[in-house]
Amino acid sequence: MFESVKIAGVEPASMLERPGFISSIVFLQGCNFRCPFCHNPELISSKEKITPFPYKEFLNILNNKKHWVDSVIFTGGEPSLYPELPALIAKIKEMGFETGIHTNGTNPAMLKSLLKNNLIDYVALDVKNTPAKYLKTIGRKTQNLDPIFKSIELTLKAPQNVDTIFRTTIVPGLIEPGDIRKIGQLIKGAKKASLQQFRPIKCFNQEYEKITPYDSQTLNKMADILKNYVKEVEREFTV
Amino acid sequence: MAVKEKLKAENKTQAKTNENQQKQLDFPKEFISDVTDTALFVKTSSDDIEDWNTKAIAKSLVKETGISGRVADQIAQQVEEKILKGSLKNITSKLIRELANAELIDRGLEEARKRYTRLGFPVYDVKQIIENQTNKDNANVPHGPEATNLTLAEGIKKEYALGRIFSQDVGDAHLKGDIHLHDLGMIDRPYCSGQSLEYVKKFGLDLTTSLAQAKPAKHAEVLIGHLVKFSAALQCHFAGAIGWDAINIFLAPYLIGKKSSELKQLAQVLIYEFSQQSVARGGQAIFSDINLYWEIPKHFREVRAIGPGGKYTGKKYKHYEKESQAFARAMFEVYLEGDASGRPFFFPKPLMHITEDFFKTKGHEGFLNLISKVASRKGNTYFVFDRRNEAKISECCRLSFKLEKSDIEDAKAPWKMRYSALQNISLNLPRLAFQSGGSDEILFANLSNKMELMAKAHREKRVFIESLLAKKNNGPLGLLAIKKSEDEHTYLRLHRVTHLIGLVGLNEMVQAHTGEELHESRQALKFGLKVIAAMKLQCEKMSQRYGMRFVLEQTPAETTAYRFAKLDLKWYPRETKEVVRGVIDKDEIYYTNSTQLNISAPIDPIERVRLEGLFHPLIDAGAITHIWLGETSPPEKSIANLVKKYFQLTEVAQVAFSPEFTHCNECGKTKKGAFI
Repeated sequence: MFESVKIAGVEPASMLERPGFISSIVFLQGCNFRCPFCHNPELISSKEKITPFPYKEFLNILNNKKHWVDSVIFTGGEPSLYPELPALIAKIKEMGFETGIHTNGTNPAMLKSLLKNNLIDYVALDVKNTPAKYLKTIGRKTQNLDPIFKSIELTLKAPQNVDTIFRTTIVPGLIEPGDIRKIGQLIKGAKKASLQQFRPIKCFNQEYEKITPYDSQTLNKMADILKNYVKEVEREFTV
Repeated sequence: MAVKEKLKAENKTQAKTNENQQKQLDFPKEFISDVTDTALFVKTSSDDIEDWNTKAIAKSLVKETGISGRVADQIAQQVEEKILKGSLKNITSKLIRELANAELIDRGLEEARKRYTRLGFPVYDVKQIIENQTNKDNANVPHGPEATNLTLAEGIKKEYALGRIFSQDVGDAHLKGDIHLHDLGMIDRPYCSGQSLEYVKKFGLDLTTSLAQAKPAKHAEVLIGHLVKFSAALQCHFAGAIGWDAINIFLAPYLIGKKSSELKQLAQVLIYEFSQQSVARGGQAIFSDINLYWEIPKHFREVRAIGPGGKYTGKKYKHYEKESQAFARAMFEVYLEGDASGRPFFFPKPLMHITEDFFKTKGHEGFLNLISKVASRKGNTYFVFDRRNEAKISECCRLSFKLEKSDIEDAKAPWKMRYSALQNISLNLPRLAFQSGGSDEILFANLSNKMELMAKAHREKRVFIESLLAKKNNGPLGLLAIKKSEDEHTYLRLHRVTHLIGLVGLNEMVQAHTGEELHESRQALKFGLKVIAAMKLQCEKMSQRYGMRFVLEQTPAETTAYRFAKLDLKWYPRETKEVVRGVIDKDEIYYTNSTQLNISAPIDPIERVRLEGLFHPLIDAGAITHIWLGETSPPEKSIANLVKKYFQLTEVAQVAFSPEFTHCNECGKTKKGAFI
């Protein structure tokens, strides 16, 4: 039934994605963004000739890890490009797992329905940059930003029992320390946000592999600024 | 009869001739001065110069080898003739010995030659060792004058062990790489020791070899000093790890009323003192393990507590839970900080016991997060799982002893709890597969034979150690032969020692035998389990037969995995190339340790623990699974979550998380991840 959902890979037991949880991460093929710093470039094109991870195998992994894995999180690529996703998530939830989605926010309608129907326990929403720099950051000439703003709003207003986090990857040249304030304003009042260190390895645009990441001091300063807007800042950088 | 008499007569004539020759040569000074103008002097091994004396050679030959005086005289003369033919001014006793050995070989007196030979190193090797070489047998020994002393001393004792303690077949099996006799250079020591601080609290510091004796400590600082000193003394008497049981609990009576800053200071003293012992003898850090508990475990709850001055405090250990927990917390806070440059401490290793009661004890969530944070950031924490009502004392990174009924009885007076493994011998499993040509029958028969040989080696070591202990204070192991008046046993309790049967490369053995690695199929895994079960069974049988405790353990020394792989590549190149891990061209090869799965196989941390955990109940002397974190530092709550599940859902005995670090010796900075 869900064979049309192209699963590019599964990381069965991640300790990193959701603090305190053991999560299975499901990578879906295809993305509508072209972020130059993306370090999963092979997941971007939906036409890419990959051997998809068999759906049955995926279910086997989950069944096999029933008492171990707390939550199953869909990421990509961009998982919300698949109309079948809510039904798939519902099925996983039925199996007894918590569920989650890591999205770029371009499909607020799907996010809304997932939240409304209590299908997800976790939303990780990417906030790529300030509105003015968004297009450059996502590598697109045109992109209506309204759906993204809508998704931010939905995530901010998500029910209390839903774990939410806003994520920004800090790429020198795209994001300056001064941009953090504007990003903070976009997600004001959020429960949690995280600044992720950029890794100049295997980038979609290979030019980006030459960029030296910010040092931890700069990142810490940025996190301090962001802290003025959100309740908690996760500092996931080991430099 | 006639022949005998004839021989006798010949002997007599020979003796007479000898005597005459001897007489002629008895005044060598004059004779030699004709040739060299000076007397011939011999540099001896006792830092002295002596006049030439043929009789001395003959005498030492008789004394050291037990050959007849007649043959000894003949040899001495031959040696002298050779020396006189040369034009040496100074000769060394070493040279004389070498010449005498050549004579012994000519006469087919091989056993006598073995007894008469010198042990030691060629000059070239000594130069290498002093100037360049780091100790290859032990990753924890740095290069320095003390360390090279250790290497040189170990070299001689190793030769002595192979030549004089172990029988020929055992020694050959070691040299060929069928088995590995661990710590041969420490042949005169038992392997490892686990004990409780109660002994030091009760008796003070009484080291037979030391000039000063200390009464039981009155203050926490002093007690920690005693603890570290005693560990150092034990390190000088054991080859391997020194483990301490429930240290936070036994320290607790000394910690009444201390502020948290004082506790932290004491924890720092303890950890730094242990970890900086590498400046001491042997240049070697004390391989030390500290067992810690959050709750007061059942077997210690009702035990009368010993406090300052070695006196009973009138309370029981269950009354010291608060102090005990506060100290455990302080210890992990110090581990989290690392040393002055942020590096993790290597020793002492904190072994945290996770029990049923752990999860029932107040404050465990916060504490579990703290020790998980240490695991994630620094990697120190060893999670030791004592499921059901089992209790363990652990030493070394893997070795642990399940407490038996008699031990639980001893636990009423914890100072009696002293454990030791006398020797550690590992088996090269892949080679068994290479020799069996795919036949199960041959493989298991071969396995059984090798284990018998290992048992023989253990018996030989035991007889030797027993003979040293029997000398009591006059022997080298006087410290271990101490017997306090209140104690029924000597410090080393021989009735309770174990003999370790280690294993290396189950994964490669199974791969060579079945074509698949342990993680690749259910059949391969099953076959691996069958091999280990067979080994466990044989340990039990041999224990009954010989009245010694043989137990399986996971071999702790990674160098053994390298040595076996290297020797197999030499003797079984074709078979070895197919299964060995690492890079052959770079000489960076190894077998997967013990029963572990291929480290580089993409197996998630749940599956790895689940599968490796299947082997752990079969390995009585302790087993561990390592989870490699690479450069990631997972949130402590995620680690805590996983640890709880490991306890509840698997049989894994111990787990450690290993982050990767690179320390730059030039700038002194430490970074997460591997940098080259």
